[in-house]
Amino acid sequence: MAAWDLSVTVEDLGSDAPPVTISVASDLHVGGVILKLVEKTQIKRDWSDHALWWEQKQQWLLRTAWTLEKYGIHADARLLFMPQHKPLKLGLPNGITLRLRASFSCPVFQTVMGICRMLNIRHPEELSLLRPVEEKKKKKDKDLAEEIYDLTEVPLSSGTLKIQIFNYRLSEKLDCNRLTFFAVSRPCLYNGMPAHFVDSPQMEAIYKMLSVTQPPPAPEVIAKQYRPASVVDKAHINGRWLDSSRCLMQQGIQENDRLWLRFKYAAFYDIEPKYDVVRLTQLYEQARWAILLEDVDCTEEEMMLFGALQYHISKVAQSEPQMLSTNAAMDDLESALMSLEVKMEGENSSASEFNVIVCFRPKRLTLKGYKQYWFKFQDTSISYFKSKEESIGEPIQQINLRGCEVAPDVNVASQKFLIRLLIPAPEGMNEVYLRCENEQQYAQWMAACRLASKGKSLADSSFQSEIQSIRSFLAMQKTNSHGNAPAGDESINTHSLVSPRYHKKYKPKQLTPRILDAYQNVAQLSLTDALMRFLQIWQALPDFGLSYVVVRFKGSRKDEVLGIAPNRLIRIDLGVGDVVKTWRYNNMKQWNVNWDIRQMAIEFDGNVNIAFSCVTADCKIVHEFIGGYIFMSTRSREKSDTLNEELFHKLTGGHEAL
Amino acid sequence: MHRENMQTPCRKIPGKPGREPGIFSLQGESANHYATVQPLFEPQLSQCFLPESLNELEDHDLDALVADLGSNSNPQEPSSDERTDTHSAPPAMTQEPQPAAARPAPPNSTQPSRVKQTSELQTKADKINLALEKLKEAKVRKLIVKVLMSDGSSKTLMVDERQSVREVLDTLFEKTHCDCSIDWSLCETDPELQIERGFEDHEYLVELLSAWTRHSENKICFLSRPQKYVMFTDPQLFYMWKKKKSCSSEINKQAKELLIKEHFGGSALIVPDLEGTLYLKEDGKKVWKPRCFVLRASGIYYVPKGKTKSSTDLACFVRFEKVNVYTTNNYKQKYRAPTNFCFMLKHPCIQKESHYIKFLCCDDEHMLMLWVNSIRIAKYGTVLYQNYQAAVRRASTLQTLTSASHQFPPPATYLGHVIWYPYITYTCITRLCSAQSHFVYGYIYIKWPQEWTISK
Repeated sequence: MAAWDLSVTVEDLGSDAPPVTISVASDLHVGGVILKLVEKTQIKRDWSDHALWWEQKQQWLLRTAWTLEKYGIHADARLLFMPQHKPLKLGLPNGITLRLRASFSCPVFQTVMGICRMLNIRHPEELSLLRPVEEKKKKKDKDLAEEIYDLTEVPLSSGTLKIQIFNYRLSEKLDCNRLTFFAVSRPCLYNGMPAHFVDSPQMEAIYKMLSVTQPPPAPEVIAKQYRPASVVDKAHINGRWLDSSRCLMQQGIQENDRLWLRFKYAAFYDIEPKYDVVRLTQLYEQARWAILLEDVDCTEEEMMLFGALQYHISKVAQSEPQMLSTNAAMDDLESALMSLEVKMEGENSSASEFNVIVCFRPKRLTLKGYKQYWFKFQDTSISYFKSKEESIGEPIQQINLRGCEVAPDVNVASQKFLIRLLIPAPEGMNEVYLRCENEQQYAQWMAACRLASKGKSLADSSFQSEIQSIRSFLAMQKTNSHGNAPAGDESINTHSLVSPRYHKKYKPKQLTPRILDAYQNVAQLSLTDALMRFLQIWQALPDFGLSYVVVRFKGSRKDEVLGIAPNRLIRIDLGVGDVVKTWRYNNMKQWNVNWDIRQMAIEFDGNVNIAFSCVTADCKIVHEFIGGYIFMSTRSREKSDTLNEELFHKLTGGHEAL
Repeated sequence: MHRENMQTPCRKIPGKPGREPGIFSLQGESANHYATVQPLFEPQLSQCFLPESLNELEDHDLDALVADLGSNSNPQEPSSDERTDTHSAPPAMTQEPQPAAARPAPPNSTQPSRVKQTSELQTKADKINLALEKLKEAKVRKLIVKVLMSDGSSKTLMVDERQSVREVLDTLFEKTHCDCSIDWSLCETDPELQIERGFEDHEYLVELLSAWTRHSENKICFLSRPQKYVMFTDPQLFYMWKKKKSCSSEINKQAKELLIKEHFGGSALIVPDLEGTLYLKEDGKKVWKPRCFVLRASGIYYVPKGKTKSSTDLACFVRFEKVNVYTTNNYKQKYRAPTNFCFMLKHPCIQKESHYIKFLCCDDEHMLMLWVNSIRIAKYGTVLYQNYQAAVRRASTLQTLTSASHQFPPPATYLGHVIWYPYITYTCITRLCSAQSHFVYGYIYIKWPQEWTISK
């Protein structure tokens, strides 16, 4: 066969270097071309990651056994010889940017798998990459160079896996099945981290960034971020998702480009705090921002609870070391003695007078003013006496606080420390206000009242921590009320915990009691439990998990919004502003995509057919969302933990064949 | 056991006199006294002392303590004098298995010279442990309750505060030979407010009953309530409530299971997205005003005047942490409600009409069923699902057992409208306050939590 000249640009020679020309025949296979190329460059290095990219066809030549003829390559082909893995700037849900090597040659689905393996995030099928929203750069921001954490030195993902398996084989001699199981679903950890993060202190620091929640953002930062104002605004973000079945190169992503890694499918499978430290943290961060930027709507009460949880999480995350779960099972005797001790102490403290004088006002009986009494806390009841001297005798009244509502009414600036008690009684609720003299007394009594309302006595081990959390919350109000107080560790502006809507509505010190009110129900949660609670409440919001796309239904003349949820599709009429129709996936018979006219047609049980074209996103994105959710629902524990990649592509791909 | 654990009993534990009236405790100082003490405790008068320190006791003291507590924890069966009662409570129902029986006090404690020090500490530790359990046991509150059956008869049983409603139901299954279906429930009725609520299986009966006032007319009934787990037997009613009834009734078993999995099986519980117009009885007024209400996981909200249904505009009407949902009876007459399909939300302690009670009225029976049971989903969450699963397991094992041994008695009369008109047939008082008289040792006490003052 006749030989002809093929010129190939070798990226490693530099951008100015002329293309390398080699003499080839049409029956030479791609592997042979690469061999010739490498010989000609005379550079000794590891070329194993390199491959040929055909620029005109936007295609990698990855089948090294295929001949040039089979690929249809002629002398005019512009070929590029370059590594398949290139660095990428990756924005994580927590706002941190990483620089890491990702595959530019395999489908994005696999690229994400590689990234997640490197970052130790299980179930990569739930995540995907999207093009970031362009930020309007102001001149002022320029000098604030963004910090980028470099992970490019990490050996390529496939390599890491091999090393881990190898280590297992050496140390534990596990059988092969078990081995793959470990490798796929439960990454082996050293010191709680994947092997490549243990290498250096810098790497360990990066892992900490991934696995520990970020402190609450400054209110200005929240206010500056882009907030979608309508469903249509929310729809635009979904046009940015990359195509999972094609590679990064094919989608015009260049080396060092910036992409976002986000949870795409709102179906979080099998969250296991023990193994999912990074996953859980990043999921929380994504949820937190979704709340702060009103990506998901919630009521004011819910916002206060989210605020309280954020405050609690940031506080516990600061104090708690990296270990997320420490469940030291206590010895029987040990715990028995502990409880004995607590009991004794309890009797101790509840017997000795809780020596404070609290002013007291049963609301409806007297019109104004507080009367001073000597108060005593015992078990879950408070008793009051005329004076300390009379406290040996019978109290004027004893009030059991079990099941009562405790609400704070505090203003540190004006030294107002009120505890509002709503005590249930057969006739209704009795409203009682206790006025404390100072912060210290308030914290103690508030803590005691809260415990008592839950049926716990002062002897309960959580008493001290309850006092502590109340005091730190008061400290927060103190710094807020003094305007521009120096930002210490303890001080968090309450505006950092809620969306900008409430920045306008309330001053920080007005927010504090509201958040404090919600906080009392979550203050005792561990870090993991608090994170899980946040995610649960987020997932229980009516609008949770809806990805919007603006579409045009067949036969309709106006734009409407299609909402894609984990289990259903909804149609939102922009005029009405409400859901007008719901279709569930389990009634879906089939869906078809007409790639030529970019239209989707879905058929449901009972001869229900809908067809629409997509306005704000490509129909591939909508197709992928629906297929992806069907895929997510096929996952189950029985079917082993390995990811059925083929099925995913079957459900979400398809247009390449045409 | 480890050495360091052995050190722990040596901690100095300060003892202080207990003050709670009525709590069973130990009396006297000398060791012999424990062994021979006549258990004559009058709850109100007994001076209750904990030993200065358990650790300071001699071994034989501990033995005596354990033996004493052991004897106390086997009370005689309550001699029941109820006319209608046919079964008296077996001790197994009221008593937890006693550790004392499984582990009798070792007799070698009187020969300390022959035993190694470690094992001595070990036995001592065991005894302390045991003694603590006994003390705990002694503090357990117990009630004798009379439960009304659907045929008008009643059964009397003793429940202690650790017994959940599920366990009490199981006891009643044994006593009544009913068909053990998942619909059986215990519910309270309040004739004064004309309300009713089915207890949830995970709740503790004694705690629930302690919210009643001393002379309460309230009753407990054991009856089949088809709505108890309707959200799991017919999830489409709740999660596809906007659809026409015709297409939701055609739904097959797999589709139901899928609905349950979607809304209860995931990492978060999804509450039905119920919304619509309800009539609200405004505080202290006789008028019922229509308002648009929305149910969310965090509570019931209403749409303020001139605002939209969007989440940020909603105003919170009630949250569920401290209130229970009750169905009502004949409120058209009692409160001039637009319909008889009313429900109310109140703190369990409130027993009389009060402006802290929220009254709501639905258009029809179906909406009432949706609202009441959806509120239960929002309030109890996944616990409700666990209750259901446990009830199904329980029903299937019991049904196979009974069907193997003998024929079913005819299923209890199906009380069609019992949900709304429950207590027409029931007349007698349900809770006996005289529980103490049945017990020689008097460590049963009933504390009424709502008392404001201590009576002498």
